[in-house]
Amino acid sequence: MINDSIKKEVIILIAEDDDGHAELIQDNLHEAGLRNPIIRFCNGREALDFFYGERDGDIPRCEKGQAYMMLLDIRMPKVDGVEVLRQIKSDPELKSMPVIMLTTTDDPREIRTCYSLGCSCYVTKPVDYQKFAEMLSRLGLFLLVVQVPDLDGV
Amino acid sequence: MGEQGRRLTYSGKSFLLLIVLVALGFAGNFFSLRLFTGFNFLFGSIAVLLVVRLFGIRWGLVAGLAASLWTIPLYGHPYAVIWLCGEPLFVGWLLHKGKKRNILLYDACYWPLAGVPLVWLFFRYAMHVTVLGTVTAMLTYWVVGITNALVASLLLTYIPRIAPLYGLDMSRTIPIHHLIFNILMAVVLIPSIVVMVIYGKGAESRYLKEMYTGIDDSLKVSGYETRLKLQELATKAGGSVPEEREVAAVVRGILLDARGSRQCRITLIDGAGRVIAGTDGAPGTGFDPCRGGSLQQAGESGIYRCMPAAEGVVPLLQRMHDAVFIHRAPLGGGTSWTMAVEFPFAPYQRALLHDHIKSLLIVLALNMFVLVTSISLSHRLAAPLYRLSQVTTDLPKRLLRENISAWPESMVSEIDQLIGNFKVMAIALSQRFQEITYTNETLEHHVAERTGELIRANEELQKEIAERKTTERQRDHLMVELQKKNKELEGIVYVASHDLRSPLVNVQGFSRKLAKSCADLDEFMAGLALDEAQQTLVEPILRESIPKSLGFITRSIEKMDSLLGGLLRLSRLGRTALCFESLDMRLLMSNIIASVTYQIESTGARVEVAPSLAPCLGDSVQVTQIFSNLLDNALKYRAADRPLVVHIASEIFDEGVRYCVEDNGIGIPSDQQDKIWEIFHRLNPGETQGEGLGLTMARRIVDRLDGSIWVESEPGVGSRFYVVLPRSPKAMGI
Repeated sequence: MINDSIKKEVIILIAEDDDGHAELIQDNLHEAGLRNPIIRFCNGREALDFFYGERDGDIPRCEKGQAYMMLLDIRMPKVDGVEVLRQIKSDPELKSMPVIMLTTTDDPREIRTCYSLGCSCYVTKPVDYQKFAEMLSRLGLFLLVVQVPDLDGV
Repeated sequence: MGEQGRRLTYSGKSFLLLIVLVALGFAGNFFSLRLFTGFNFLFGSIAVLLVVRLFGIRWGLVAGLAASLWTIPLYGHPYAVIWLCGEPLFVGWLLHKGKKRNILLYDACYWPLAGVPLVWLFFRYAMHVTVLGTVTAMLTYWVVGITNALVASLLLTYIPRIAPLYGLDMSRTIPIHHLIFNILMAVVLIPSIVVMVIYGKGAESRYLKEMYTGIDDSLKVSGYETRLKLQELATKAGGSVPEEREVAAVVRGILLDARGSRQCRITLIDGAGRVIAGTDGAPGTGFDPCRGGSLQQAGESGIYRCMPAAEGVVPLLQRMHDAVFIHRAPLGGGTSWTMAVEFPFAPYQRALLHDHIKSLLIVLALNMFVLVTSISLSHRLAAPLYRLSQVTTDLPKRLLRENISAWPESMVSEIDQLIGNFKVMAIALSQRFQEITYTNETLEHHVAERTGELIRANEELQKEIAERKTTERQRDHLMVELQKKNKELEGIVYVASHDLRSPLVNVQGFSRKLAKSCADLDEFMAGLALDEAQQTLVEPILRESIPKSLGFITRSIEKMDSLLGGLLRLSRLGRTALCFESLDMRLLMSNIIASVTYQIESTGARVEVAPSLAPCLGDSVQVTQIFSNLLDNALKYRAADRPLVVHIASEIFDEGVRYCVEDNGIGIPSDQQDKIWEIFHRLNPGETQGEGLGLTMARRIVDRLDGSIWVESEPGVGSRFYVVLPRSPKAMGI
């Protein structure tokens, strides 16, 4: 049913300002078995530019027909995660993209805000591998079934 | 004040009164009382004077004219108008100029000053009246004038009562001397006038009667004598008619005898109307005694009065003076001759006038006497009253300024009593005034003092208020500062704990990675063929040193993490919204106990909650946290040698509800009892778990809920934690 020619891997987008955190997350993803391509943004501005910005040399831009999944850190310079979440979820094209919030805080207010804006999941750092894998697996199964071709039948 | 009475108000009613008075003036003269011929008591000037007084000079003049017009036909000369109009003019002018409004006085001045001289002038020089007649006329006018003025004056004392009815502006009061004057004059004058009038009316008829008797007598006597004489002559002449000339001479003598000393004329007239003989007059002339005059029957039958025709203007009295009374009767004795007697009225009039003058003079003298006496008498009577009224005008002010000593005296007992009363009253008043003034002054003094005190107190109060306000402002300012700082602090803690967390995540994560890498290395090394020496070098590093180090790092990180977490929770305490409600503490406690059921059972502890646990006012989550922490502590710091017993009770006070959580744990040494509230402080760090945040948080919460928390403890025995929370308003009714 899924046409190979238009079937593509899910690209995982990570918006995280701290390099250490980003590396840890990528490690976790590897350990969870995901080999999808990863694009890293250092702040909310870059993340938004990916979707809305003009062509600017080598800087990656989103493509039509490509599936994405986003891991969003809340506290980022320039534009913070909540704002990015808000913009994405109010865009009819990007609304369906799964967004996972990552943050050090477990402030119930923040959690409420993010869920009310429409994030798919909320994970507090430190993200230990087990929790992460568990979470991903909940999400991931869904993802794997639909989108990730590598693990699907090859 | 003299003007007021004569301010003309041209209202309909007052005009009506004017018309009526003018008419009355005329009527008064028309219906004048006849004293004797040529002399009437004219009432008209009463009304004229009233008009002058009420309506002014102009209207007075009009009234005077209207009234005196009747005298022209009455007396036969127009000159009476002059002095009868002069009267209102003079009186009116004096009323206008003078201060008193005494008509009588002014009128009494008019006649001697102006009226009477005018009469003299016109009677003597314009009409050539006899002196006697003129004098009588003068006196008559004078007396009549004054009498009328008196009547008018008396009437005027009653007019003030009715003046408002006619819209006339007159003062309602009359000076007392005026009143007395009027009364005295009236009492003296009116009877005398009445007497004069009565006498006057009788006098003329008496004189006339006398004259008629005289006429008759003369006629009889002269007739008788003449008849005798004629008979004599007839017998002498032998029966034939004697000669007229002879008869004339003889008869004349008889007639002269018959006349005697009387002033009259006796005439013998033949049948043809020609004089035969007479005391006056030539024989042979026609007998026409009343040439050009008017003949009128007078009194008795047969007597006629002849009033000669007036040459020029002549007053009635003068014409009367020239009047002749004629009686003509047939002689009889066989002849057709008549005898006529002519009596001039003049002598009788003279006598009449003399009498009249006498009575007039008496009246006038009485008049003057009364005038003078009444003025002085009325003044004597009225003066004390007047003085009294002067002295008592503005009495209050006078009493304040001076002591009144000039009290009048009077011999009239009522006035004397009045003066006495006034004196007493003045003394009493002045005493009262003094008292009042004194009280007033002292009062003012007191008031001034009080006011001063009040002002000072006020000023002090104001100062205090200002100070208070400043203090309050400062306090508010400080409060605001405090809140700001608090918020800042919480913000800092919040942000710090977040930002501190971030590196922690890295450290943790990468230490783990390190450990894994180590394990991988170990595995790889195991696959390598290493000699003993190399292995003994590598193994300790790989298997002991590195893991141990990593272990310490990891544990420290975890500790830090939990501390940061505690800080975060603590800071969050100040930021959560509070929802105050009435809390059912029994329910709350049972919930807490239920959440630590496992710990309670596994340690064999017993938690007892008093059945009558009082409700309080607070936020349920926060209050749960407090007691949860306390219970946790009790469980943590239980004594090793005995089972834990926790007792929770409450007591109601006015200020709030005091809860007590009592345990039989290890207790708290007294030097630690203050420190336990500090953040991160732990009683037994080695033996018990926890971050040392429980009590700090509890205190924080209690502070926010407006309560208090403290501890009483004895090491080895146990501890009692007291928590005071506000009373629930609903419960207060119970």
